[in-house]
Formats: sequence, C-alpha cells, structure tokens
Amino acid sequence: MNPILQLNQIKKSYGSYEATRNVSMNLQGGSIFGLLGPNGAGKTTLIRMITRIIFPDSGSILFKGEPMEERHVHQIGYMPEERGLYKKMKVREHLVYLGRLKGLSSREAAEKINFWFKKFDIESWENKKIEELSKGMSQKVQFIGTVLHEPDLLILDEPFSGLDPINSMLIEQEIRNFKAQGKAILFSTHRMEQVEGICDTIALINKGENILCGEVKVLKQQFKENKFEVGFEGALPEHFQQHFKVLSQSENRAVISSENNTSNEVLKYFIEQNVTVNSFKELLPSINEIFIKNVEKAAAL
Amino acid sequence: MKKILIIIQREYLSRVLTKSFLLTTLLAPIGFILLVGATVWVNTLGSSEKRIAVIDESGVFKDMRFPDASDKSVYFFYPNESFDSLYSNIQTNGKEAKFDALLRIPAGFEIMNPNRIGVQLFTADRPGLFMKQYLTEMLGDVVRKKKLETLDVDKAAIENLNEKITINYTSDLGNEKVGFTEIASVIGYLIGFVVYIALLVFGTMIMKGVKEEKTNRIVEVLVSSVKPFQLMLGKIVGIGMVGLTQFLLWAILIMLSNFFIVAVLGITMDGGMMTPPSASAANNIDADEIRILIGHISEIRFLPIFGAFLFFFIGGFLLYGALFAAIGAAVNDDGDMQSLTLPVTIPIIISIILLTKVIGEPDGSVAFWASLVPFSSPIIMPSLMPFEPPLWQILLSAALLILGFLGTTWLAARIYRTGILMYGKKVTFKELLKWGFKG
Repeated sequence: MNPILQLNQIKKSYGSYEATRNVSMNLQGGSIFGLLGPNGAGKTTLIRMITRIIFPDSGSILFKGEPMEERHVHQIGYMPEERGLYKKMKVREHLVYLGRLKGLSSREAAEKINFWFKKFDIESWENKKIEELSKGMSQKVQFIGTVLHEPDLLILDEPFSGLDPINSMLIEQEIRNFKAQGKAILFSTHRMEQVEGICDTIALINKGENILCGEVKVLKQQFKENKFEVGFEGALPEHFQQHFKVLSQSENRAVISSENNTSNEVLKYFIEQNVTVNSFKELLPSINEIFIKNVEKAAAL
Repeated sequence: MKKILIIIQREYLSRVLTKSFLLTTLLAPIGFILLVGATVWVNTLGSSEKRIAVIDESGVFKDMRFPDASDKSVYFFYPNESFDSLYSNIQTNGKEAKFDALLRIPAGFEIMNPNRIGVQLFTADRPGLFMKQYLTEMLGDVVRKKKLETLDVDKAAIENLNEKITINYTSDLGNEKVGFTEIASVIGYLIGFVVYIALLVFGTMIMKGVKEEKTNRIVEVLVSSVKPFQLMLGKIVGIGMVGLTQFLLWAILIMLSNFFIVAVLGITMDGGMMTPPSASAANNIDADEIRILIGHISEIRFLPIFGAFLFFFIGGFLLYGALFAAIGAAVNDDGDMQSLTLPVTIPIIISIILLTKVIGEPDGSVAFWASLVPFSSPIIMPSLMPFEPPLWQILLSAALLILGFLGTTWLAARIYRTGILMYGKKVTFKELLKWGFKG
C-alpha cells in the first residue's frame, strides 16, 4: 500500500539561506508521525510545502502515490501553531466557512458540525461570536475546523501549545481516534517529550536536514547503550563489578551497562549469583537523548 | 473560482449584514444634507444687518441714495445729525450705537478725483470683509455714474454701456445650452469626489481587513485551503461589492427623495429653460430657476456617465484595492501601515487636486493625460463624462486602466504572498518593491 504522504529529496532556499536540504520521509496511514526539531529547524517550511502554501525548489511530494496537486489539499487538515479565527463571526457560521473552503457543501458542513458539536458537547455555542469564547473554547473550534472535512492527512503544528490540560487530553484522544480510522497524522513539535507516547515514527530535523528517521521502537533499540536498572535485596556479589560497568548504585538499586550482553544474559547472571531481583529494566534512550546525540554527531562531521 | 466566490460571499455578507452598514448607508446622505444645510444656514447667518449712516459733507451725492445690499446685509441711512455727534455716539455706545458704521464723504470731495480727499468709514469694531467689499463695489459704481453725469454723457448711452453680454453657445455636440457647462461641472465634481472618497474608504477597509487576518493568524489556516491570490482577490471583490451596494442604495434614496421633492414642491423635470439664469441666481433661486436647472440636468446623458462611473470605479477599485491589500499583508502594526499607505494615497490625492483644473478645462492637456494615466483615470475620466469626451479617449483610458489593474494586481499578489506569512519584520517600501518584482 502506498504511503499517504511521501517526501523525496525536498529542497527549499530563501536567497542564500537553505531552509530545508534533501528531506525525505514517508507517512503511512494509521500511524502518527512526529516531525521533531528545535525552533527554526525548518519544520514549518516543510509543512507549508506539504500544504502547498509554498513550493519546493526541487524534490517531489506524493500524495497517495500521486504527485501532490491542488485537489489533494482538500484531503489535508492543517492546524497551524499560530492559529486564529474571525472574531466577529459566529461559531457555526465560521465552521461552515472553513468547511466550504475545504470543498464541503453547506449542508455537508452543517451535518458534520452537528456531529462534532454533539461529540464535544458544545451545541449551545453555535450562535456565539468567536470573540465571546474563552481560549480553550476557541481551541476546540479550531480543532473542529481542521478535521471537519475528514482529511486523510492531519497536520498538527505544535497542537498542544497553549492548550489547557483538559483540551490536551481531548485532542490527544482525537488524534488516536484518527489513527484508528487509518488516517495519517503529522505531528510537528519542538518538545520531544510530548511525542514519546504518541508517535509511531519520527523524523528529526536539524538545520533543514533530516538527521534521523524511523520507527520510535526501532530507533530506541538502535541507539540503546545496553543500560539496565536492577532493583535487588541484600548484597551484590563481590566480583560483580568485573562483569559490568556500574553507572550508579544505591542501597538496593544499581544502574549498570554491559556492551556485550543482552538483557536476558544480564538477568541470568544475577539469578545465577542468587541475588533477589525485585525489578529489572532495560533503560532505553529518550527521543531527546537520541536527538542530542545525533546533533552532536552531525556537528562533529 | 468556487473558492473565490465563497470568500467574496463571506467578505460581502459579513459587512453588509451589520448594523453599522445600515447606519452609515442611511446616515451618510442625511449627514450630507445636514452639511449642505448647515453651510447655507451659516451663510445666511453671516449676513447680519449693518446700519450705515451716510454723512455727505461734500454735497456731491445730495440728490441720490446709495443702494442697500440685495442680500439685506447693508442698509444706508441719512440722519440729520453732524458727524461729530454720531461719532461720539459710536464711541460711547460701541455696538449698541444707533449705527454700526459712519460713511463720511468729507467736504472738498471731488467726483473727478475721488481719492484726493477720500471717503472715510468709521466703525465701532473692525469692519467685516463682506461689508468692505460691498462698499468698495457700490461706491465704485456710484462714482462712475456721477463721473459720466459730470462729463455730460447721455443717460441712454450710459445704460447702453452697462448692458451685459449674453453669449449663445453652439458646438457640434448641439447641447450647449446656457448654463450647461456649469451643470456638467457640478456633476463632474460630484462624481470625481464620490470616486475619491470611495477609493480611500474602501481601500482602507481592504487594508485593515487583510492586516486583521494576518495579525490574528486566521490567514495561516486559510492559506492551507486557498491560494493567497484567491484570498486577496476575494477580499477586494467582496469589499468592492459592499461599495457598489452602498452606491446603489444611495441612488435609490436619491430617487426616492427626488420623487418627494417633485411631489411636495411641484417642480417638474420638463421645465422650460432657454432663459439665461441671471447673475444673482445664486441669491434668489426661485421655482423658475430651479426648473431651468432641472431642465439642464435632464439634458445630461446619464446612461454613459453612469456606465463610465461604474467601469472606472470598479477598475480603479481593483487597481488601488490590490495595492492596499499588499500593504495590509506586509505590515505588522499601525505605525508601519501609515508610512506605507502614503505612496498609495498620494496618486489619489493628486487626482482630486487635478480635478479642478480638469473640469475648468475639460479639453486641455492636463485633462487629457490625467484621464489616460491609470492611477488618475478612475477619478478623472468619469468626471469628464458630462463634457462628452471623444469615444476613442474613453476607450483608450479604459484599456489602460485594465492594463493598470492587471499590473498592480500582479505586483500586489507577489507582495501579498510574501508578506502575509511574514511576522515581526519591519518592512520598508523598498523591500515591498523587491518582493513585488523579484518575488
């Protein structure tokens, strides 16, 4: 099956400044893709190229296997980081407008709005003016505006920035629902810790370049440093430090590393030495750690 | 195209279906009428009555009376009192004195040499400009008459000398009725002024609308659904239609008030004319003269004027609207907006300044060139229409205007596209041009 979105060797410059350099990535349906990188790395430029606001100097963008065209824009829902609404418009009127711009008829838009109003239990808002809404309320309206036309690709640029915890949870749940429906979600953020639990695949962008791309599980394995955390009772064997490098140790907890042993072999060692093991965990690197490591590696080259 | 229509619809309805639109549409003509009414009223106020005592010590004018002003602002009296007693009355009583001024013709005043021992005027306070003007003109006339009498010129000859000339205008166009030029000028001015105001008001509306979309970031959402150019064009056309709707409503209001005037005052549009309006027409408008004026108005060919007005208003609106939109897209705050707006408003202001010259000399070179340059033609060309310029000039001007707005729209779209998503950067006019021409 074709990925929903494919980026091949995308390049974009502003004068002498290279905003993105040979970025490639694939977004599969039914998965959440994290586009990660610090501020100014080129994430927004990439998103604007996907949504056809700007165009790449070279490289190709494919949507469901076809070169991206104007008509595909209707199958994309984009919620930008900086998002606004017309203050003087009424909630329903505004959503109908956004829906129609995405190709829905007024009636279709009205039906879908009813669905979301009911889902978020906000039916009483429809005739309120946007300026009468609180920040949290308008965030919900913005989200509905993004997904109203049931896009196959959902692009969320820093979706949680400025969201209160309740709305954050709500949006996260909706993102998961979209994934379950087989849609692709591109989730752009500079806050690495946010993506750990949500994203299936990530791309790390730094200075316009894709320095790392892959499934979160695979990347964690790839960059793991064979660190283990062992919880135990009693004392550890005397020759224990000859087998492992001890990174930290307290009364009943030790963090060790062993380059040549798998987790099973490490655990087996402790059991054979008659140590009472309470807990045993392989410490995988966080996305943030992987990112920093790779940025340093790229800088060293 | 469908998206542009959706945008136009929003821009139009969100403005027309508001209380403020209804209010300005209804109140603007009332405000205009009040303004005109207030001007007339102030003028009548200005002619407060001045009582002037004439003390003719020379006896030169003893057998005549000076004519009072026709607008009832100056009256002459001939009291049997000496100058000294009247003067002391003015000095002690000021404005409460019997007379507002003393016009003294001193002993020794010679009619053939009136400035050797000159006529004197004494007033309690500083004499007003109108009174001074009236006295100078009136005394000039009177002295001239006296001089002719002294020279023993025949009375009939004097009357003959004073006769005013009436010119019978004819031209190939065949409609050069007396007073036609004046009516055409008034209509020309009115049209020019309406286009001028409309360009500024609705141009600013576009600029503010674009800036609002940019600063509240709705544009980020919109440009992922529509192209920036569609967004810009939709806004310009939508707001342009708001302007046209307003004009249409005003036209209906004017027609309704016209019916009202006809019904109430009993003035008909087919009134006879041909009688030249007298010089004092402005002062004493009676029903006959109104009939003549209305007669001239009915001579004007309104359909081509209206057509030209519509075309040049729309053309000018697209031309300037695009530029205003580009500025709205480029700026981040009101301070930037003011400095960048100036280069766009200057040609509009120059056009309205040229209008006087153009209407004074509708076939002159200023009128010709100003009616062709796309930056001034939206104001100048429709103003020239009552003077019936040659068709080729109108068509050439229209073609140039179309080229003009295609050009500015192209340029503006490029500036708009770059500016609308650029935040926090203070933009100079030079930079705008760079965005426009280099993309």
